[in-house]
Amino acid sequence: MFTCKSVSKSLAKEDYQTLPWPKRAALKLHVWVCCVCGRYNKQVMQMQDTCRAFREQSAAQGEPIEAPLASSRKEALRARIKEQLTNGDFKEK
Amino acid sequence: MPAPSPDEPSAPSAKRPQNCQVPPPEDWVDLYGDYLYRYALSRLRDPSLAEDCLQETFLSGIKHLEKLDSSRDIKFWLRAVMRNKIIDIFRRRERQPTIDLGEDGAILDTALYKHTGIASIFPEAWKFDPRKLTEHAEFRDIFQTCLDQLKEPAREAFLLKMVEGLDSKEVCKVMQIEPNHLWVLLHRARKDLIKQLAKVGLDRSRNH
Repeated sequence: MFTCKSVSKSLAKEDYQTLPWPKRAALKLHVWVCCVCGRYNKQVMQMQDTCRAFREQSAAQGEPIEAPLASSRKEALRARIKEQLTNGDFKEK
Repeated sequence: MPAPSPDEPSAPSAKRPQNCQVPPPEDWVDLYGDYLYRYALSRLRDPSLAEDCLQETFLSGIKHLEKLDSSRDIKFWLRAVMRNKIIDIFRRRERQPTIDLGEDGAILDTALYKHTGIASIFPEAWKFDPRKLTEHAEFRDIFQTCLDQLKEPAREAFLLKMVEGLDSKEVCKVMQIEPNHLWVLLHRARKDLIKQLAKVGLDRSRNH
């Protein structure tokens, strides 16, 4: 069974999603019933789940920002990459 | 979630699938430029820093391309390279010598906490579960907007720990702060963020 200490530790490591389901259920049960750490840890868990969803959606679809990279800057970048490739600092896979 | 390090030697790998060819670096700007730039900008909030970070990422990617694990999508590998660059930029930032713990530090100041590690002051209850928003079609935009409204250095601590997934020790090292300062900054960020998210969430549920 989880103690308050191990719940906090597990939440800090953010590994509770990877725990086997009986352990995960025990952790959720603890957070649900424990009056000492319940509220705080429940908030941490809710925010971690929200952040995980944001992380996954952002990685898959890109960040939601309306600020394209200027085309002049893109051109400069292409030139810099070309220069790097010409200098031979590139090992093709 | 431990971040994949692009500097790790590539694993002895399975045969690269036919559809997983690495595009030549000359095409990276067109293929991944906007995606990576938006990533850098969302974290650094400074267009010129984000542009520099993008250039460093591409050049570093070219240099270490032989380390790319053939089973990985190069887009996410470059994102991992950029993540390390962003953390480096945070590490190099000039910092305030001390962090004002304010009223959020009160929880850590009680004798019970100091001696047992048990917080005796309950944090304010949340009237809204932020997970409800994750199914929303505009969740990414909503969360990013709310995140942008956090004040520094709480935003930076929250980004590194909760969004980029660094462990607490690494965040303290990057930000050059003590663990109790990190705890307070995260607590403050969560408190401010939930206020923003709740406002958006409740407004939307009222309108639908």
